Amino acid sequence: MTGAQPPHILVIDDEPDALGAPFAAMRASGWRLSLATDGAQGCRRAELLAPDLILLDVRLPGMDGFAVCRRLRESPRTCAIPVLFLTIAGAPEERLEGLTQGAVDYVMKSCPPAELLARIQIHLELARRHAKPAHGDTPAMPDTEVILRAATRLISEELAALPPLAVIAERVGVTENRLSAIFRRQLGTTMFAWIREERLRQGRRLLADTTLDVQAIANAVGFRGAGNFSTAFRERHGFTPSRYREELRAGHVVAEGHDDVR
Amino acid sequence: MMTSAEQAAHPMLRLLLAVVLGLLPLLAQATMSDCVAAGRDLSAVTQVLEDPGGTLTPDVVLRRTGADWRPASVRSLQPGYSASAWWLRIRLRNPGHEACAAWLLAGPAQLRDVQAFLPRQDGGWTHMVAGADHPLNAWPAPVRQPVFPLTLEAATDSVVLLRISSPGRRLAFTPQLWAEHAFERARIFESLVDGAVFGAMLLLVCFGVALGGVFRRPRLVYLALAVLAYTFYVGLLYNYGYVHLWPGNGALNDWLTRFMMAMTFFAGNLYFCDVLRVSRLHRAWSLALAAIRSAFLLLALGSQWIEPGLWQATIHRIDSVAVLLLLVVLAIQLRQRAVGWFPPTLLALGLLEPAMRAAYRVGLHTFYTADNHLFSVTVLPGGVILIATLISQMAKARRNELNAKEALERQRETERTRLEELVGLRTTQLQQALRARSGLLARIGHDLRAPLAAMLDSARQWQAGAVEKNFPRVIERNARHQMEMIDELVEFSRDELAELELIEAPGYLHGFLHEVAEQAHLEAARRGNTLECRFAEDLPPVVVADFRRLRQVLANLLGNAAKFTRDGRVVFAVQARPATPGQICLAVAVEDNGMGIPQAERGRLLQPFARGSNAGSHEGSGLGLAIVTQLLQLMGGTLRMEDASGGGSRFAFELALPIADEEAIETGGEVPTVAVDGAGRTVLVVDDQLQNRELLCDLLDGFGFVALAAADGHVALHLLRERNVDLVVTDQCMDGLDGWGLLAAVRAQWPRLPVLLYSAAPPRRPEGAESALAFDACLLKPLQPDALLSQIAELAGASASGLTGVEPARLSRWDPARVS
Repeated sequence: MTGAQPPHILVIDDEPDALGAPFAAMRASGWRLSLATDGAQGCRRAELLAPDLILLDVRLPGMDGFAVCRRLRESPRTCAIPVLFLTIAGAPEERLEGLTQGAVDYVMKSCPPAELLARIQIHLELARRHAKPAHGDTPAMPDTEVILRAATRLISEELAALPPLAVIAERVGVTENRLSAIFRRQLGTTMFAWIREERLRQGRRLLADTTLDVQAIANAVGFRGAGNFSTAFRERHGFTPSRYREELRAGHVVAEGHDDVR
Repeated sequence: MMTSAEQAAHPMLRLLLAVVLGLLPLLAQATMSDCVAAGRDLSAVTQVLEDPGGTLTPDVVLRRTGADWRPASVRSLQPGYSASAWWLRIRLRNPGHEACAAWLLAGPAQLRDVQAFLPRQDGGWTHMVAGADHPLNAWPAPVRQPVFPLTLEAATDSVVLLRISSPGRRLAFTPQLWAEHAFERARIFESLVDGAVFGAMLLLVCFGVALGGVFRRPRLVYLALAVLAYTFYVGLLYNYGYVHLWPGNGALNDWLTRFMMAMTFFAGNLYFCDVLRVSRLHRAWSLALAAIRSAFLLLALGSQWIEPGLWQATIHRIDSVAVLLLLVVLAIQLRQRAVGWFPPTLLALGLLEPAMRAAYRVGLHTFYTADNHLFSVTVLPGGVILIATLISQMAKARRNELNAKEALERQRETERTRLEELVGLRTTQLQQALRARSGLLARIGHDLRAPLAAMLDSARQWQAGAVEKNFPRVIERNARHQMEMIDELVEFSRDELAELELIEAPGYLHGFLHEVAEQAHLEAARRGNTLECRFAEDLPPVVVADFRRLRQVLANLLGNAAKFTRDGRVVFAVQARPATPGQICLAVAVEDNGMGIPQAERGRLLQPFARGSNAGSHEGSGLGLAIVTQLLQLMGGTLRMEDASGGGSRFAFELALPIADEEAIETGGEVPTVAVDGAGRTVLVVDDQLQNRELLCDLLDGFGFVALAAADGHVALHLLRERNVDLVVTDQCMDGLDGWGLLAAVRAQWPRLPVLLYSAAPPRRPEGAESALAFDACLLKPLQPDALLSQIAELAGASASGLTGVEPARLSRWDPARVS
């Protein structure tokens, strides 16, 4: 309706039958509709089709909607596509989770079709205004890379209170087994070692950029106590966090960069 | 008491004065009048009558018979203290041919009431008065002494009556007849001498007070004040005040006289208390004497209002008590030898006058007279005592000063000797330290080269394509070793060990000890030594410690033991006993049968850069034991050096370490480097700690294994029944079915299934278990990924080979330090 090209909507839902009314309305408007019935399929189709907008259910078999959303955000081909959650899962924490995962809206399935369409149109319009380069040209990113990115982002964001590995894997839509294998293959390291390294990296950044004490930093990056943090830091860098900070202030070392500070 | 003390020296002083005044009579003689010799003594023509009531009149007196009148004698002219009135009947005769005028002197100036009755032609009496009891203008002449002018008619006899009464003062009569001029001259001379003495006394008193104040000698001040009061008292007695200062003011004179007397007693009492050191006796003595002093002071201040007679009686009574008390005190102190020669001397001096008076009374001598016209005569003894005290006190002060100086000098001498010894000691120590340091450079050179050589060697072999060793690991270990050595040196040069902070974190004790032992084993083997580890079974699996520093300590001790022993035995023993709740006391001992350390050198070896005299060519910086000592101190332990039973040396220490939970350990920092392909192999991981399960599963999954996790033996058995498993990796201690129970069950049901024990503690077969029951392999936590993977691969039948094919570029993006 805004341009020659009618909008292309990808719907990822395991029970599309329940969406008869909105689908009818969309088709009536001349929109193109594609459908995927589980998360993995949805991800693949999104990569492939590069739709204008994705309608995503939360409760999906296998990988849930949040994991799909997380993955969509990592892939260069799909990261700019607006995602709307369309679901019956209306618990406040689920809505919050959805919106913080990068979805542009969170709409209940009970919503009148006209309103849903209106919302979709607003987001299409918004997306058009932020005129992105045609993402269809970007080469597709391998699945494993997308998963790795999603996992590392999740780990980095939740370093302070990291969930068990199984939960992390689930939240990026893979099994624990697979995630470990991906880390091994892509990074040549174990998840534990990567997490440790990430903790130290963030800890070091906090040491340099903030005035938080060592205990607070240890907590912020998920170490069990200042002693553990200091020990790991000393093992990794050859001196203690407090010493690092002193040297930093004295200008003996440079805070930036990932080279060994010595 | 002061009075008696003063007058004790009287006779001697009279001699002195006689010399001084010797010229006076001679001069007087030259100018005397025709009819009277200068100071003609009238004793021979004088008769004395006592009038106890003091009511007689001249007429009545004259009518008294000869029996009442006693001829004047030395004794009768000095009745002493008396309340009576005394009459003197003096018969004068002028044998010359013309009348002559003369002065009749009744006695010394202290007589208060002297009346003269001169017969008149008409049979009446010419009545004249003198003395302080009478107004000055009633006196015939304003001179201090009671003198009366009289005219002796030519060739006639005449009788003159003198009535003298002076209660409260000592009476002495010296009837003398003086030519007018001679008397004047004698009086002037007397005043001159008195003035000189008075001035001298004042000066002495000032000296006394000043020196007493400066040298903190209260005794001197007391005596000076006493002498001052007494001097004034005597001056007042001799009418200097009444005649010259406040002419005719009898009341003031009387009051001041008594005031000065009481003050004399007061200050004198203070003085004697100090001399006799009353304060060292029982408190009662001090209190009694203080009470007496207070009474003196009250009498002094109240002398204006108390009736003179009562006042006199009171003060004399109190004085008697005071004298008595002081005599007793003196006796006590002499007996206890608490006082020196001075107080008895003073006492003897004080007793001299009463003794002489007594001797005079019984007629032993007639030397004693009381015609002390001269004020000086009574004051000088006080002055003499003051001078004596002054000298003795100054001498004492000087002596004290000299003693103090000497003590100071001795102390300085001692201090200097001590300092000299200290300098000698420090110089020796410094020389030792310098020698140690100069030897250091050579050794450091060698020590730093050794790891470099190993690295070069490894690199060459690696380049040549050798695969039997993990060369990057070898190189890394050597580099790390060298870096630690450099760190040690730097830390030491910066004095950082002193302010080193310990970083304590929970860790696996067994794994740590075995790792240390493994390293030590290699080092021991280099010199053909065997390393024997004796780790107690009951060591706790997890403790909180600064493991890096602890490793430094142990590596140093073990390294030393290995270094100084050849083809011998090194024993590494660790035991634990419970300390406070939540803590254990870790007892560590490293013993060898090597060359040992001479007893004398033990203390020195703990100094930096010091090495044993028998260390010879052995490598080492000499920093080791110094670092160990300081680190242990930091951790709250003490290094003990002992003789080993086998003749070598033994180092031991104890540390209190908190026990922790396995959960508190931070795990999984190591990146595996081996290449293991676990594809198609299923490994069951059994551990009650989620973190440990995840860690192992994460590691295994990465290498293609399929890892299954179980939280205890029962779950594991359940999984085993459902899945086809190639290997079980289990923890030892778990709730529910533990590692051994699981092993027994596996052996029973799946006899060919290998079981790997991966535990915080070495395998400890439970009581009652079959002795044949054993794990296929055992590994200690913490995770050493390479060793673990190799072991697992071997047991699970997976293929393993050298390094992985992970391209370095990829790795460096995440972990540059480990590769570059």
